[in-house]
Amino acid sequence: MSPVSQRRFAAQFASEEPLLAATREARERGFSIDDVFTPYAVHGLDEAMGLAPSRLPWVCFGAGLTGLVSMLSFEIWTSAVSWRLNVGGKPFDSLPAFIPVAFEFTVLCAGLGSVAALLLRTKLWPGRAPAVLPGTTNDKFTLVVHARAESDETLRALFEHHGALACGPLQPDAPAPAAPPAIATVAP
Amino acid sequence: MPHDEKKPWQSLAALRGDPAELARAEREFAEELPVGPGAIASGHAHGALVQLRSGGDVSRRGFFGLMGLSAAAVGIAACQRAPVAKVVPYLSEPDGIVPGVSNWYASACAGCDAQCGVLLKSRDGRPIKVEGNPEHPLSQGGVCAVGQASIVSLYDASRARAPLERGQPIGWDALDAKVLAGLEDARSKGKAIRVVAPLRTGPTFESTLAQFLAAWPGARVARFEPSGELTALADAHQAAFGARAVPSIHLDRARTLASFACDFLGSWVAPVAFARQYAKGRALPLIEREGGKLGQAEGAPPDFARRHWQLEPALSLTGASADRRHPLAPSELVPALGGLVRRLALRSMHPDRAAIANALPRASEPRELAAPLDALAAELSASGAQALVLCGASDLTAQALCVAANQLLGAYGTTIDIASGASLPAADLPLAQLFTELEAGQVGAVIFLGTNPVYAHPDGEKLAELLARAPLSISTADRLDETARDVALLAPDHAPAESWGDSEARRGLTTLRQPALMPLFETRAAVESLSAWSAGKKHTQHELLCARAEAELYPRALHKEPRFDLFWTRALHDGFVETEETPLPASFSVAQLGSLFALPLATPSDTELWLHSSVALRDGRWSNNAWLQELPDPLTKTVWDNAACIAPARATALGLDDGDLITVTANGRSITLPVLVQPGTHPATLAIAIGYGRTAAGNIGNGVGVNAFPLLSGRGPARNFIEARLVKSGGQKPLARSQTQASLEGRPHIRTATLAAWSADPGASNPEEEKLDSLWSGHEYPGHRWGMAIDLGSCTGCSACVISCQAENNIPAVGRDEVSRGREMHWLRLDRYFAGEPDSPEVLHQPMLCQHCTNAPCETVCPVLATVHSSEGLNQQVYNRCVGTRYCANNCPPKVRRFNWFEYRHDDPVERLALNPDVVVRSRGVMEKCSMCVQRIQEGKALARRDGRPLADGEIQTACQQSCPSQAITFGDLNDPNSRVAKLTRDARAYRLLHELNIGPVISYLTRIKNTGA
Amino acid sequence: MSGHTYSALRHPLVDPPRSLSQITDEIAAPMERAPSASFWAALGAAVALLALGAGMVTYEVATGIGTWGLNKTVGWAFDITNFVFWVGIGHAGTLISAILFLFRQKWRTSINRSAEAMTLFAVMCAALFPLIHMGRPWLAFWVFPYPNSRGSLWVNFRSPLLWDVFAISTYFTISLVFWFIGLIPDLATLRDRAAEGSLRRKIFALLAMGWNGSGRTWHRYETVYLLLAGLATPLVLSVHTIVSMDFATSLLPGWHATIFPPYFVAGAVFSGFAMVLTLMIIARKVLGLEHMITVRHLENMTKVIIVTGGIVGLAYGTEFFTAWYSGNPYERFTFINRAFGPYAWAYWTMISCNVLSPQLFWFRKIRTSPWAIFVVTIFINIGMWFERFVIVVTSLHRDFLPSSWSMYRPTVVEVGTLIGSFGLFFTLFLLFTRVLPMISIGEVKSVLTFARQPAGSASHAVPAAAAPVLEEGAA
Repeated sequence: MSPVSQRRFAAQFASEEPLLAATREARERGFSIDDVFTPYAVHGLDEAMGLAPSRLPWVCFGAGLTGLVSMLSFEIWTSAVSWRLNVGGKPFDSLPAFIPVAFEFTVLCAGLGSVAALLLRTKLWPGRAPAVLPGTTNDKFTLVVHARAESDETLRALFEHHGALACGPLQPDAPAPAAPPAIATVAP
Repeated sequence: MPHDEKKPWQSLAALRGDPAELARAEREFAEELPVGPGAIASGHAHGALVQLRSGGDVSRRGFFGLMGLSAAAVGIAACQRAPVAKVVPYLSEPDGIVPGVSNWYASACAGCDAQCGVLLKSRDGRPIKVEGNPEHPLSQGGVCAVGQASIVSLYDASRARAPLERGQPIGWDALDAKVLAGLEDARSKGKAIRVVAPLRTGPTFESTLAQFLAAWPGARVARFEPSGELTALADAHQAAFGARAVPSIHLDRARTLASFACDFLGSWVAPVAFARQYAKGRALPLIEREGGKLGQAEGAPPDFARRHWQLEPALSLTGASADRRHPLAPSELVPALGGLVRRLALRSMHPDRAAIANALPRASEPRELAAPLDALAAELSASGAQALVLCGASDLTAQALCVAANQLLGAYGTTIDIASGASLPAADLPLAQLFTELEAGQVGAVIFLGTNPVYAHPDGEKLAELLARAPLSISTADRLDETARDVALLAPDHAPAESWGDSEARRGLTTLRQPALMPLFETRAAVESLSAWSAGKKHTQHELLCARAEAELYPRALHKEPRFDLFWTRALHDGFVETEETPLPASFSVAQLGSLFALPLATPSDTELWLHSSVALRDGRWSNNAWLQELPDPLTKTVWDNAACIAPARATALGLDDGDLITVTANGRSITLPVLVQPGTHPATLAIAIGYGRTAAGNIGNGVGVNAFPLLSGRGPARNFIEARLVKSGGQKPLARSQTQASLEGRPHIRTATLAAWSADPGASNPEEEKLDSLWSGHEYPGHRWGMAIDLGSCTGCSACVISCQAENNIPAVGRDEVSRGREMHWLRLDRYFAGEPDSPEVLHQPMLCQHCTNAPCETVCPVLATVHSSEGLNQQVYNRCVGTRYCANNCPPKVRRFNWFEYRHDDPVERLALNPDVVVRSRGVMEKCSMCVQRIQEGKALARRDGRPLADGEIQTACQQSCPSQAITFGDLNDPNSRVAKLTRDARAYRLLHELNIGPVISYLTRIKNTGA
Repeated sequence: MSGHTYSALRHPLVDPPRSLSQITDEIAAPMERAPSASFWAALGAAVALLALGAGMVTYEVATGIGTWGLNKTVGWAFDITNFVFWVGIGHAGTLISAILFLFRQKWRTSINRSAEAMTLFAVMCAALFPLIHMGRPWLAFWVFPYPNSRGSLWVNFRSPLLWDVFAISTYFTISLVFWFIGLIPDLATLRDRAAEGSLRRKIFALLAMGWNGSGRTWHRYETVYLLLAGLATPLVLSVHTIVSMDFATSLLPGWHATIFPPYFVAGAVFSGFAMVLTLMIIARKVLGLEHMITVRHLENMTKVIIVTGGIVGLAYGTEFFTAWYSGNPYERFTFINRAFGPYAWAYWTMISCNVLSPQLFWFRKIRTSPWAIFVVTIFINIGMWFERFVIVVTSLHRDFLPSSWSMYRPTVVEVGTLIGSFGLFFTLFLLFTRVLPMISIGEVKSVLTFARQPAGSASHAVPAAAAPVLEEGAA
């Protein structure tokens, strides 16, 4: 993420295609993308923004492995060490019979683990209420790039060429991503 | 402006600035709190509070600490779940009572008239279990279901708790005064004094009765026996030998046994003793089998000629064990017996053979029985003196013909013996005459000594009305039964376990009854009442018994003792006394006997009523016993009801099915009851069990089934069968049955072979089990490994084990409704199957209980480890861990697990006294099952450990094993190769249930062997 | 989706075309308008059934299992039948949301939300029965391995019933999480629709956890969603496998069968899809969502039913074959008894509902007429309930020892409890349609242009929607 102090420039689009095009070109022109705000998961956006694949699968794997190992060892310990009981003539350590529970616990840990990781990494938790760009959760697609004042015009031209509904700079000290006042105060 | 601020002051002292006062004001609490060293000394508070103190006294902080602690303590204390119950220790322990240790008292069983010797297991002063007395010469350790269940009748809440006059309590003194006044009045008015006594009481009782009769000249006794079987037997022998006695019978000596409708294994005379003899006679040697190789035979080789024939109208327990069985109509009994005697006369060398043959009744035997009778006669005469012919019908002619048959065979002296029989009191007054006397108003006083003719006499209703005509009428019943309801005074007798007594099972053998607890209620022994009502001094039952013992038994006892008290102690310890007796004078005379042949015969008809006593209820005296009511009849598997059994062919002909209601009419009396289609019933026979339909037995027994006695109304000679009419009355009464499926579906759970096949190959029809592979290595069982073997050859299906198990393990009776839903709770049940022809089927019995599988399927599936294996190979059910998923029961192949569907209450203050303190009472929602009497195992091990000796084989007996009259059940340690159970497990006849499932039961069943061969 | 999904062969998933904001409005509409009279009627009925069930359960727990028709031979009947039935229903939800997601089946987007909800509610109903079928339900927590003062005495990890405990609880948790993760973007949408400062907004703001549609978040979100789908798929298979092991690992003829796991899973999918269809056909009508839950969706699901129905039918046949081929007398008897014994009526009900009725779906006319589908699915629901009843009861009531054979008859309490479970299910489902978006707004938007003329056309297609801000800017 970019430092908040950095000056940013936002452009709003009505559909995903122009957004994707604009994002690609902005990156090709050397502008660094701060973030893109969309109402749904836009296919190909990560590639357009140049995001690296997430590392969350590793968290999932780790959590799952922990679950598997811990439950298997717990089962063996309770049945064969802590209190050995002769159940139906089966050995104290009836490993085959322990697999189903171990499997279930693996899945549980993997699932909860990766979800927890997601929420932490993306700072999603109850009570968080960042300002949201208007329409983002409905039908607007907003692209935010880091830009110095002198490049405003080039950016405006670029975005309007891609059919931006509106564009303009964001307040430098505005908490990212804040509603770009520019969008409200475009032109005269 | 001068600064003057109003200073608040609380007291003048404070205003003055009195230092003490100021110091007091400094303190947080006006006076010392009861904490701190001083307080501790005065026992006020806990030492830990010292630290709460700051300085000299308690700080606010300390105070709140204290408060918090108390609050927490109270909270924790409130977590106590169990209510605090008051316990009272023995201050001075009563002599002979150690809490938790049982006392055993040798006594006599009062279940029926057989008078078996029993041991009463008493815990903390209350009898909780009836066990057989192994030393008793007759019963030899067996007890039947009725005997086992008598413990419940002892704690029967419906017993009378005080003497009553017309239902109102009256003191004993008042009662005695009334009785004596009444008797005196009768004497002065020259009216009759009558006593109705049971047929078989005891010597002491008889002598007391004699004293009473002596005290009241002209008083006479009428004897009453509901099922007139002993009467007929005794009368026949009186006619033949001049001795009115019940002959002693030795089935073990009988090579050929012909039984005409005689249920000697079920209810006739002395079933337990007979079952023991029967099993002894048919015992097979033990032959071990290992890898196809047979070991040395252990025990005497069987008698290949030994065969038991049964000819009977309806299937009986005895018929179920017979080698050959032929159904016959009741009216054919006498003709068939006649035919047999005729055949025997031809073969016999007996001097009187001609006389007997000539006297025979003219009735010709049924054609289809000709061939069997020929064969039977041939075998009987071949066995000669080692043959025996018995008849169970209470019909004088039939009994007389039996006597003749045995006489012709020369059986008297070997298999049957009158000289050592138990003599019965001479017939004094026929009951019929009492009726006429009452009608004529000649009776001044009538006393019913433990008899209940209003219920059990065919004309009971009439008697009930007539009783009103007697100025004084008394009953000594233990409750307000049918008769006691209609008499003026009830002088309630003790329960048997509360009373002293003696009885003569056979000549020279006296069984002693001693009480095991103080009387629960304000009751009095009937003998004491009698003695109180005789002129002269009252005697306690103990005095009366001792007096007789000292006079009669002590001098003639086989086992001599220097002093009477020593003798008496020993006698009470043994529970019986054997004395030298002169044989009963008995000389055979044909003339008298022949006269009995001439009695009128029963007329054949297409519907003939056959009244028999059921294994559980017998003549109905224990009808208020829930255990007996819920004991599935070994043959019909019905509970809480009596049904009319008819032959399958007849049922289809009449369009009847199980539970259809019919109306049976005989002698103008009718009863309506459900039908039961029962294989083995003769087509013309309608078999109904007596002992049901009580109206004043108590809250449990009232209105269960119908009373069949009235159907015999006004019969001439005592006879338990009679022609009747049968009408389908429409409607249904579904029967509650513990088992509805009669066929084994060709499954090998019960294996049978003929004696011939067995002698050819001891493993006949029982191929040796192959070793099954297993994924698991299994577990070691060092030390003990408990196991059981059940010999299906000896098991007669008498169901004594079922009740014994119920008594030992606090198993509830759940009632008709629940049983019909398939929820009976018996841990040990008797499976009964029919095979072969429905008109005379083979009956297979199999005691079924937890098999304590080595690889128990129930254990694997329990989620909470509520059922696991013990280190001694027992499958244990942990009640307090069970959450009740019932998965174990579903996965149990023999379906022996029982679930507590409701909270089965044991909260009657009297009835709960029967509970066994060694076994927990299970709560609702918990699974339970056979524990192999683990409490007995633990007790046995503890005793052995205390004495520092190894546990002996057979020392521990499970409840079912202990009571088994035919010793079919053996329990022991499989790890001990020489234990009996281990040997039986290796026997060629032994097989494991569902072996192919590899569940590895530790219970082995032994193939059933029958000598059916030609 | 950009234009690359365009193909003349594909049918649009949303028909007729909609604008993004229209989608939002339409899906949010049912939650924003006052409930209709018909809704109240439906809810009232559902709650009434629920109350009946609650009464029955209370009575049973207070009095004892004896209030049911069970006996010494038949230890399970309605209880476990209902349990397996409801778990089976639940599986379709996970299948639709997870497996179809992995297979990139775009058409799932309009039904997965409600299918997942159905899963949750069905699992709740299912979980009720193992609990109340216990003799001492107040001790149910003993099935969890927690340190205790008894030794510690743990649990029996060899018991399939214990596997169930873990399977069902895991299944419920993962399904709940999966469902909620899918909801977050829509919750944000609802948050932003709600009036400033309204309670509604506060609640949704809390639930949306500050979702702002950031591309970076979407990126990770998608990853985790995929992971969950990947986890849920084996999970759903394992759950019904384990449920089937309750029977398969026992030694009872008719239960002890190795084909049970696949057979049960197929059965679960079969019954689940039938139930989804039943609900969808009502919902799309009542809530006017025909253009999103199109006939094509229904048709696709009927195809799944034909396949799984076939598998189930095959399983029935296989059971009989193995019974005959094994030569095991007990096994043979059980199956003959099943088809011709006292419970033959139940068996043939099952066959006709599960094997015969789905065959109607071979006809396009029936496949494409919602009401015809509705009728058939009702039959399938009935048939699948009877399948479980047949397996549980006919196997138990006549097993190894003829002496303990017996019959089972349900009591009013058992029937009432079953009805009550339906009451619970429908109550929850109806409430769900009111308080949460029945259709995943975000996902539907993503397939809006599916199989349509691509590129900027979208913006032309929807001038009105995007207008206000733009015009304000231009003015």
